[in-house]
Amino acid sequence: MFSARQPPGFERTTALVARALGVTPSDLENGLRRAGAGDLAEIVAFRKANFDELIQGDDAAYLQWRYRLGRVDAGMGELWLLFRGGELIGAVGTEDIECLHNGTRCHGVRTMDILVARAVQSSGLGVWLNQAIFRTTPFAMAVGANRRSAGTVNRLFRAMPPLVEWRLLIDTRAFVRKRIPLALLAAPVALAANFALRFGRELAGMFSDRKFEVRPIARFDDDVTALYVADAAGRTVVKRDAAFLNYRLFQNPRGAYLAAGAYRDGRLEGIIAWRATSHDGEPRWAHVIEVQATGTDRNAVLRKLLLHVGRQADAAACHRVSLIMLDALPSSVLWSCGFITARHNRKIFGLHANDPALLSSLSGAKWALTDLCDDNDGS
Amino acid sequence: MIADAFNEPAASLEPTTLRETVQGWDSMGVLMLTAEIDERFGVELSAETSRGMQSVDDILRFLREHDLVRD
Repeated sequence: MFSARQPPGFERTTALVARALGVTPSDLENGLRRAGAGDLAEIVAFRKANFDELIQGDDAAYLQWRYRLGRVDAGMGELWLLFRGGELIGAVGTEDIECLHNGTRCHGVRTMDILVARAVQSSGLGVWLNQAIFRTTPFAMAVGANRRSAGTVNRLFRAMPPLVEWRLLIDTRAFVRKRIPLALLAAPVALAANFALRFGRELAGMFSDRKFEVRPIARFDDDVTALYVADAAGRTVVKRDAAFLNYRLFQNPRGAYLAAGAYRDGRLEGIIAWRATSHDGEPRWAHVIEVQATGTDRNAVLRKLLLHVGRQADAAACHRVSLIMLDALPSSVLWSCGFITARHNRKIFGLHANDPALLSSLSGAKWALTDLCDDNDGS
Repeated sequence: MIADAFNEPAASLEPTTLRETVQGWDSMGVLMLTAEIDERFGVELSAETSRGMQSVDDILRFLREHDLVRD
């Protein structure tokens, strides 16, 4: 018997879900396997049939980019498929994660893309898929969740502080229109506010540290890894390297990002990655997916990079810059660049580890995360 | 028991409360409810029946039909 508020363990969940699906527990467990290249057409059809509203762009291209699908040197994670009597009824994706934690490297996965066929919903299969993944990895993390999965994430994973959005307002017209319905008055107020904000950004730029030069990055080199390793002192970070950043930021079929680096005497001291995006009829906005810096002048580097993106976003006719993060950079740096918190917009973050000692250690750590740990690309 | 399964305050659930308004009535909530009914009463709540439940009243009706609660 388990406490009502504690999820059942894997064996109990397996028994309940198998019964609900009309299969034996061993059939259920044996029905789960890694996806291969030959599964692609069936996966695309499955996702289209069950989750068409959630699919963006060319789904086959996305899946081939995201997952290995049985290939070597392709994708950065596995897509697991669940079959019942030969019929695909569920899927769960993972991304390989390496964390730098207390001077050690911890390998785990981030879960994503959990999909359950409409015909077998209300069977608890979403919980079972998560628990099945837990058995394959020392630890798992979940970042962000839609309304349908938030409760499951909250109860299966150890709840951590959420990622919170910070916004830099560039074009105030929509903001002012909501508050001043009279168009004749709203237009000049917004114009004046836009001018004041731009002036503030330029002023901050003039006083930003001139030791650093900001240049676009078309492809990351190995020197970028040092930014993450050096930053890990006292904090737990997800380690990134050039191969991952080039893959994740520049080859993403849902949209490529722009990247810039801050250099001092030719040495890379910080990076930022962003793209202009728009959805649901919203005005264009700039989504900062990653910002990272290290060194004694870390805050000055971060300020320089944020101000750079502010100028770029202004030139790209974005009405705001948005950055979602958990302790990835100090609040004082964001405030000094004109960012304000939008605390209502947050992403849940949860951890799971099979070893209670590892879970206690990981969940007690001070994590630093950006939106690079989520897979939604600002949508 | 229903509030526990859905991880919601009991006061927030009325018979008229709709499934779509209960955040915890998701994959985990369904599993917890199924497990609770199974373990407390030895009664099976099938996925099909569970899928058809659209309000708290539907759950109560199921419990009454199996003589698990009284009016």
